[in-house]
This record gives sequence, C-alpha cells and structure tokens, in this order.
Amino acid sequence: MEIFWRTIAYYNNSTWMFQVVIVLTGILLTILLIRKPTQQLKLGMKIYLIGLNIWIAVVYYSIYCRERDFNNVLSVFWGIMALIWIGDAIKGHTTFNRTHKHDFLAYLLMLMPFLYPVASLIRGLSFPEMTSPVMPCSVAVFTIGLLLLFSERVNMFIVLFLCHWSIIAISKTYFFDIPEDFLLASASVPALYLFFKEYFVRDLHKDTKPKAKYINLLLILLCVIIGILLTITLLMALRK
Amino acid sequence: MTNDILLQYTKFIAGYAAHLMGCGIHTSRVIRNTRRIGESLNFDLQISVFQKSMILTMQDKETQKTFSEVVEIPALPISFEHNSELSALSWEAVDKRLPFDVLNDKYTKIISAPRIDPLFVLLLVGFANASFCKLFGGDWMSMVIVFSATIAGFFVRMQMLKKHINHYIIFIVSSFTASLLASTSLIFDITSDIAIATSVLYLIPGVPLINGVIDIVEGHTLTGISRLTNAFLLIVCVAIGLSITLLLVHDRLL
Amino acid sequence: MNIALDILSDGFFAAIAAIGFGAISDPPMRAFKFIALLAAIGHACRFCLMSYAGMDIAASSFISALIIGFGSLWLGGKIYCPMTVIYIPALLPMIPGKFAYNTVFSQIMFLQNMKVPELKAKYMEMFFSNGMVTITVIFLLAIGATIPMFIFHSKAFSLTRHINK
Repeated sequence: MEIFWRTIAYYNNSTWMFQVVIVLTGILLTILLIRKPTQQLKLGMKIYLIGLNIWIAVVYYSIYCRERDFNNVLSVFWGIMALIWIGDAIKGHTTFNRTHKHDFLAYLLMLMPFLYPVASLIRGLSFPEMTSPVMPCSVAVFTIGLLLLFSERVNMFIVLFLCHWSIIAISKTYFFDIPEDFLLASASVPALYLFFKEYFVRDLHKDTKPKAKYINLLLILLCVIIGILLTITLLMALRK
Repeated sequence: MTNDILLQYTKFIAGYAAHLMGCGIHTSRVIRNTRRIGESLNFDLQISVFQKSMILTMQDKETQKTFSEVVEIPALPISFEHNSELSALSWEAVDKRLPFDVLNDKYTKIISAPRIDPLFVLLLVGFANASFCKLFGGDWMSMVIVFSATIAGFFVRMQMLKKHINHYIIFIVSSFTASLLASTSLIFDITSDIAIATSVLYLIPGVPLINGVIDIVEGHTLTGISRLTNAFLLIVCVAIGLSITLLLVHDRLL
Repeated sequence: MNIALDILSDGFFAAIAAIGFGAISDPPMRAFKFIALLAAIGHACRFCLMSYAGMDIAASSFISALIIGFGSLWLGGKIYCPMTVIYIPALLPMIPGKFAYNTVFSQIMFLQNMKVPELKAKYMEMFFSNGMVTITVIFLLAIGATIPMFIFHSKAFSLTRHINK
C-alpha cells in the first residue's frame, strides 16, 4: 500500500505539466464535440482517447508504476483498450451521436475526474500523494460518461473492459484504502446497466426463447447483487 | 411412388440426419432416429457416418428400389432443444404414421424456432463461472472478478462467431481475454490463481467430449475419435490463450 | 450444522454452474429445473464422498455420474427429453477444471525451467499427475452417466415417445 501511494506521488511529481495539458485538451475537445459534432472532431476525440489509453498503459503503468507487482498486466489491459479504440477509429463503429436520454448521469460522470482530487483533498491528502484527473480510474469514468452522452451506438468491447475496471475499483476501495474509487464504482454501474440494456433490447425480437420477462428479471437480479455488493463494500470501508 | 417423390423423401431424410449429426448428438441416436423416420415413410435405411459427411442408402420397401445420398454434415451450434424435439418427432412420425407434408412442416418449424437469447446466455454463463470459482474454493472478490471476466470473454466469442471467424482463433482470443481480465485480480491479495483457472472454463467443449466418449463406448469409434480430436484441439486453443496470460504473470504465481 | 450448510452451498453453486454451462448448448426450457436438480445432487454427492468418506476424486466422480445417469433416465421420461440433454449439462460442473489448469500451468513452467533440473522434474511430475486426474475423471464421468443407458436401453431409447408408455 505504501508502494501504491509512493508511485502515485512519483508520477504526479514528474508529469503534472503533461497532465495539465492532457486535461485541458480533453476539456476543449469535449466542449467542441458537444457544441458542433463534425466528423473531424469525432475522429479527433477518438485519437485523443487512443492517446489517453496509451498514456495510461505506457507512461503510468510501465514507467512510473514499475515498482508495483503485476504492472505489466494492467499495462496490457490499457494497451488493449487503446487497440480497441484504434480499431474503432478505423472502422467507425462508435458514432458519437447524441441521444439525450441519460444526459444528467453523463455530465455527472464527466465531472468525476475533477471530483477525484477534491475528494483526496477533503480526506486530508496533499499534493503529490493524491489522486489526479489523469489516472486509470478517472480516465475510465470520463470514457463512460462520454459514451453515455453519445450513446447512439457504442463499442461494447470498450464498455465491457470499463465494466471490468469498475469492478476492480470496488476491490481497490477495500484493499488499497482509496475511497475515491468508490465514486467510480457506484456511478458507473448504473451507466453500464443502461448500455447493456440498450444494446440487447435493440435486437430483441418478439419471439425469444425464454420470454423477455425472464431476461429482464435476470438483469434486475444482477443489478440487485451488484447493489448488495456495493453496500457491503461501503460498510466495510466505513468500518475501517 | 414416382422417382421425384422418392428423391424428395431421400433429400429430406438426409437433411434430417445431417442436421442431427451437426448439432451435437451422439451417433447411435442419430442412426436410430433417422431409421425411425425412414420407417414412417416406408423405407429401409442403412447409414454410414464419417467425420464430415454421411452416406445413406434407402430402399423402398414396396418396389425394392434403392437410392443413395451423400450429405455433408454442417457445422451447427450445439442444440439440445433440437435433439429432444427432433427425437420426439421421429417417434411421432412412426407412431402416428405422419404423412410427408406434415412431417416436413413440423421439421421446418422445429429447426427455425428461435435459439436461446444471447443476453440470457451471457448472464447465465457469467453466474455459472462465478459459482465454479466458488466450487474451487475462490473467495467472494474473485467470484466477482471472474464474473465480469467471463462476460467479457463470452461476449468476444459471440461477436466473433457472428463474423464467422475461424473457431480456433475465436477460442484463443476469448480465452486470452477472459484470463487476462481475471489476472487483474493478482494486484489484490485474493485467490487469484483460482480466478484465472476458472475464468476460461466456460470454453471447455464439454458436449463433444462426453459425446465422443459415448460414441467410442457404443462402437462408433471413428466419429467418437473425431469428436474427441476436435474437442482436444479446442482445449489446446484454450490452453494457448491461457498461456499467453500466464507468461505475462507467471513469475509471481505459486 | 456447518456440514449441512457446506453440502447445501456446494449443491447450490453446482446447480447455477450447470444451468449456465447448459444454456450455452441451448437446452429446452423445461429441462432446466431437472438439470439444476441433478447437478446439485451429483456435485454434493461427490463433495460428501470426497470430504467425509475419504474417497478419491475418480471413484467419487464415477459414483456421482452414475447417480446423475439414473436420475436423467427417470426424469427424462417425465419431460420427454433424451438422457444426454439432461445429464451432459449436469456433468459439466464436475469437470476438474483446477487440475486441467494446473496441467497447462506446469507445462508452461516446465518449458520455462528447462535449465534447472529440480524445477524441471517437479513440473514434469506435476504435469503428469494433474493431466492423469483430468483425463481419468472426464472419462469416468462420461462412462458413469452412460451406463444406465446400456442397462435400460429400451427405456432409454424411447424417452421422447409420447404414447404407449
């Protein structure tokens, strides 16, 4: 756990300049994309996300977190995310078209990366040993928010990888004592539920093998289980 | 009966047999069912089954005319529903002496019924692998991680199946995805070796494995061995996918 | 009390596993309840035999597979399903996945440690013992569940027949 915070401090100390640039680019691109979604901007956003994922994979995990165990697994994880985004940019699967269905949750999620450092400051941490907006979890939550805002057609592979990441975040809260990650877990689970539902409901025919009712029941059961899990983790984290 | 009608019957019976063989039914049942269908249409049937094709010789009981048909066995997804419905159809045909038109209609209806819903399967497989993790002694956190790793891996498999990619590649990629996602559990102090081990088990081709053994025991050694060989190759692919992950992390396992 | 809870939870998780792995193979909806029931009984039985009767994994798997086989013969007639439709999914939770994984793992470690004789020997031994358990158990599972089909073959062959029962 000390290694964990030490690597974060090392990372923040050496790269805060780049982080500022990345954050500013992100804000600029997002605002432009919301205002006037042209083809070039959409492609630009994808390239930005590719760069962001590569940054996490290479700079964050391979260079600054070398001290941690199994940093290579996580590096490969984010590298694959970058690969999926590259594939997406070539094939143009994600359309980045607005649906206006879940705007509130989407904006909330996109603000999250900035809530991370705030939460750290409230907890009494100080720079550089604190969370920053360019870290895996903040990137994950930002991506989920972005996809939710432009949810006409999303790449389910990315959603599933992000889903896995938020599940890891639940465990991180518990094992590494970073309650900030609880933000990610609790906010992204409803978002992921929405993605799933919309993706599968779209090609749900009238005539399904178990009736649609049962499929929905199973989805709800899953959400209840995740909810229980979240509550238990929260209680355990509070008891510490 | 004219030759045209006989030919039509022959084609139907051959299609029925090939479909049964393709959707994962052990050989002796395929032969019994097809014989029964033949009997209901007043044919005497002899069948030889190979790995990728089968030869049917049918003799009309009245005229003693003989027809032969060679059909390719299609590679269909395994379906127990078709297994039981088509078996029931063969009994119904012989018990009620169903006329050919009715038989054909019922057959078409059975094979065009919707398969089990993908989302339903996806979630059930996730739960199944998570409980598998529990059976092997994993803790709650590993169960959750296995659940999400399995869902991702199985989704990759479904998407690649849709695009008709070579199934060896599908197995390698999806076992790699599932085990890589499961290996993220290594950063915590939990039963991560169990998590990695169980995350790929949804890919084990259990049906061909057991069917292969049944075939061999019942004397259909050729198809039995071929089923086992196919299953074995798929298991090798799962192992390859798993090894890629293990090579990334092996220095700290054990 | 604790023992009962262990057995019950073992059966419960085996049932979920069987339902999930069965669902991949598209069984009829009416078969699910019996698949779950047989998987729970079979796996719990193996669990008891192994942890309380001190039997080895192969023999206890064989006995559980026999129970599943007879169960599927009896229950298959009720819902007009062939035996294999019920017993293959019910057997799947008993496939020894941990041993299969260890086989693959020791193979990789063997190849990685070719130059260290002690480790090489250790992983070689591990590979063969795990591989042997895996293959034997899978084979015995299939045989055990199929035996009822041979004993009562006329009944087993007409499970899907709707009349003359």
